[in-house]
Amino acid sequence: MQAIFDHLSAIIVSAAVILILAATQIYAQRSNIEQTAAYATKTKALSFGAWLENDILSLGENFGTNRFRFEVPVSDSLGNTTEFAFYSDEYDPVADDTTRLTTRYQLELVGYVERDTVTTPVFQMNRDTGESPVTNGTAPPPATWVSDGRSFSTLSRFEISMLDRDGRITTDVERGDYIHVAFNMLPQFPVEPEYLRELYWSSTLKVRPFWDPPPGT
Amino acid sequence: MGQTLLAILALVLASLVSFNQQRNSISNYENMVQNEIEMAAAGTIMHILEFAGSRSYDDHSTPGVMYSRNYLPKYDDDFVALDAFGAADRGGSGCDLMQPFQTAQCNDVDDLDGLRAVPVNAELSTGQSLPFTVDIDVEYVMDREATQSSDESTLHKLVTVTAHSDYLPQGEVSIQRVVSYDPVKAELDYESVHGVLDGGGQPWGSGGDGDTCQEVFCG
Repeated sequence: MQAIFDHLSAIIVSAAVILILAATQIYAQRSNIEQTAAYATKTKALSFGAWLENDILSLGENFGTNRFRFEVPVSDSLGNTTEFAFYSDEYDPVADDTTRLTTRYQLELVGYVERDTVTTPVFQMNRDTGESPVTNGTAPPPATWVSDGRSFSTLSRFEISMLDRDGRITTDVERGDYIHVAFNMLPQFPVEPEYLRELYWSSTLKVRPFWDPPPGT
Repeated sequence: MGQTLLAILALVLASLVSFNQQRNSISNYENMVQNEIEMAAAGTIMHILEFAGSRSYDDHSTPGVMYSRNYLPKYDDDFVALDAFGAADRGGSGCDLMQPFQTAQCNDVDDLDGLRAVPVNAELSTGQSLPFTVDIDVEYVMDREATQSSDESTLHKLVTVTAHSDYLPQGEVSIQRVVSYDPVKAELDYESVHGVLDGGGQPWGSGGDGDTCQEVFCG
């Protein structure tokens, strides 16, 4: 006991130094984890965005003119798009037949994240494809769907809307000249700050006209 | 005395390490938030650029002017001069960049020229939004690659959209895009207002520069 009191000042100083260094180390570690998570989220968001752009810009490939190439997006009460389907055709010159490829996005609720008093739903976007034969320009819905990758499970928002040429939101596929896509992505391993980090991505893509140009062009 | 000085030195060093780490953390947070805001701003600018391209290329290729002039522009000099860009033509309501239908008079690409500090919101989730201000410049360029600007009218216009926010890296992000004249789009724009051009529509006889017939419509 006497030894402790003899070196009381030294003990207090060394404890303070150790506490400061330990706290510094813990904060540095958390900051590094958060930075890595944010970088991974950004990379994933950019990849997911590129895939969506690729899908939407190539919808209607080899399709006949002046026909619906996509369905009206179905939304839930929060504005998230729960289902969106679009088509493209594949012609086999050897067999002389055409196959319609239908791509379908479906949004599935997989859980919730809570921060403070805010509860945020987390969704997974499932991308499925299905094939069906084309007869006289029409094809039945695919009999079976195959999961086709390009799916993410850390979305807190996923919206697809059709816009006409003047920027109005429309539910008429004949007037849908643009498709606006927006999603928010959460980190795969969210650390514990007071609020939830989200990455916001959006793009507007032209999908029409898909009519025959006039002769001479 | 010596031990006290050593203790003070140890505390000072530990405090400096801690202070430095805190500064790094704040810097990292700022960078992460700036990245997020930059991505949100880029999406909004893409929307603005896409709808800049959805407008008619020029005042002379808007459906109303084509109808009244009975002429589909075809050549470089069919389009307005640089001094007719911007406020000269876009009307008193200005240009709604996110919802073009709100400002019907802002109906061609060069109407956007000279817009300054236009407030724009990037819509996030649950009613949240990020406010930006946007500047837009439009100029004629010689080709699609925008290698050289032009004082004379051409078939290509370079649109530069710059978003400003205190939270963006360097305070702004800028994206450019070349919008080229497309007579097929001009025809589609015309048809959406004045009906189908299949022989029963506007005849497209003599044009503003004496053309007898626009080949895209003569078939």
